[in-house]
Amino acid sequence: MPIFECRDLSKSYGDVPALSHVDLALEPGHIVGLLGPNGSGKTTLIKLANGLLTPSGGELLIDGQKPGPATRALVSYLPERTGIPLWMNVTQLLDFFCDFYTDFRRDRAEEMIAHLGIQMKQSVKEMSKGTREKVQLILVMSRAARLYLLDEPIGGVDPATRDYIIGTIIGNYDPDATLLISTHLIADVENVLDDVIFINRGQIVLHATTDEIREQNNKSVDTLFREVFKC
Amino acid sequence: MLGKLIKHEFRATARTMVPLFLILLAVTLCAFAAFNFLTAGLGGMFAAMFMFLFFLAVLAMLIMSFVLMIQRFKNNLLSDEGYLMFTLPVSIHSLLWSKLIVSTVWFIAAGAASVLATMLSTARAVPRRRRGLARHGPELQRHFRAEQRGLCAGAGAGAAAGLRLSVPAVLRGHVPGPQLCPQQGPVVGAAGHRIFHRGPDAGHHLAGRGVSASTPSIP
Repeated sequence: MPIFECRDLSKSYGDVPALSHVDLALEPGHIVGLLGPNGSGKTTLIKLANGLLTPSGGELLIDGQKPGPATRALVSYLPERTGIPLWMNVTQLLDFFCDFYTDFRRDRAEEMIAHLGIQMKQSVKEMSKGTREKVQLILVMSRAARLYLLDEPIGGVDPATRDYIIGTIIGNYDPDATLLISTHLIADVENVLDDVIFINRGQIVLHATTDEIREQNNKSVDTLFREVFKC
Repeated sequence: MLGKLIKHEFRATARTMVPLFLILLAVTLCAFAAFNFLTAGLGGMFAAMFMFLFFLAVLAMLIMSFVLMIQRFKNNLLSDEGYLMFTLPVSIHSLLWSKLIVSTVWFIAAGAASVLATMLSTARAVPRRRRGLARHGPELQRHFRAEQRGLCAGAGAGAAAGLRLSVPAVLRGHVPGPQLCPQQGPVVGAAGHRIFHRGPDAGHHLAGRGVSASTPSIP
């Protein structure tokens, strides 16, 4: 059974369509890149999968169930924005995640926090933007989830930090889990992806493995993306 | 899961509420001491000051427990933190209930603390052998009540005066503070700006309104 499945899924904001008639299934054990230009529907798809939005038509199933409290226990979600409370310090954040997520591996999170040289008593308020993003990613990747939904994990950080983040993602995810990374910085993630989904104007235009793309087109994913989405 | 939500909601709100309770306790003890043990003269001034502070502390706690409730709903659920809260494996009902329950508890605690503090601050430590200002107990209590009335009346009058000044200004669309209008030359408010656009005669309106009309560069 696919861990993530869309059947004729549509979502519109008023009269503006964000996703139209998307059919998609993701099997366990894949690292999938959700690639598309700005405004193509990447974030909308991920928000629908978390139940933060409700579909206008069709349905979306996580492990066979509609998004709700039960599916949120299986999904580890990195929002596009930093949503961790500013007043909490690292210890309080770890307590919070431990209390609500039974699959949270505290020892692993503590190890990564120590590796970054962040003090346990430091509050989120006192951290730089990049550090906040790293801490949030550590919290998300320290869960042993079945499905990881990462929305723009490398959006606003420098290239060295991008490498650290991608390393953290790959080093921590369970091989049986599925990882969906949405981004438009393709060159940075290309080497770690198994599958690629191209999305444009709310429709899936391509769903293939990275090997297929390289063999059939004799091009890198980045080059193909630039051709497909040429303005 | 509701229990855990309530626990973390208390953790988040106690940061604000516990210091307020401690301030109230300290001020109450000071007021109690001043009321019972200070002698007339300079001591009476201190007693009156602590009573005033006591009212401020009670007022702050009651207002804060209300403001905090609204703030928690807004910041924790409707701002960026909402991404975290609405993706927890809990139902939306329990999110809302946890906040309602915790703010109700703070309301009740704040009310109870105010009543207890009032009783304590006006209590007499040594009822039989009256000492210090306590001899003037009834008189001070009158002052106490008068001050309470005065405080409420003052706050009401202040608010009314503020509204009287600000509301008509807002309705008229007069933005206070000067705005630079490089083409017209002189520095005028938004209302003045509009008048200038009507034409050269408008300068007279300005003069009539008490605004400086020394504006030779009107086109």
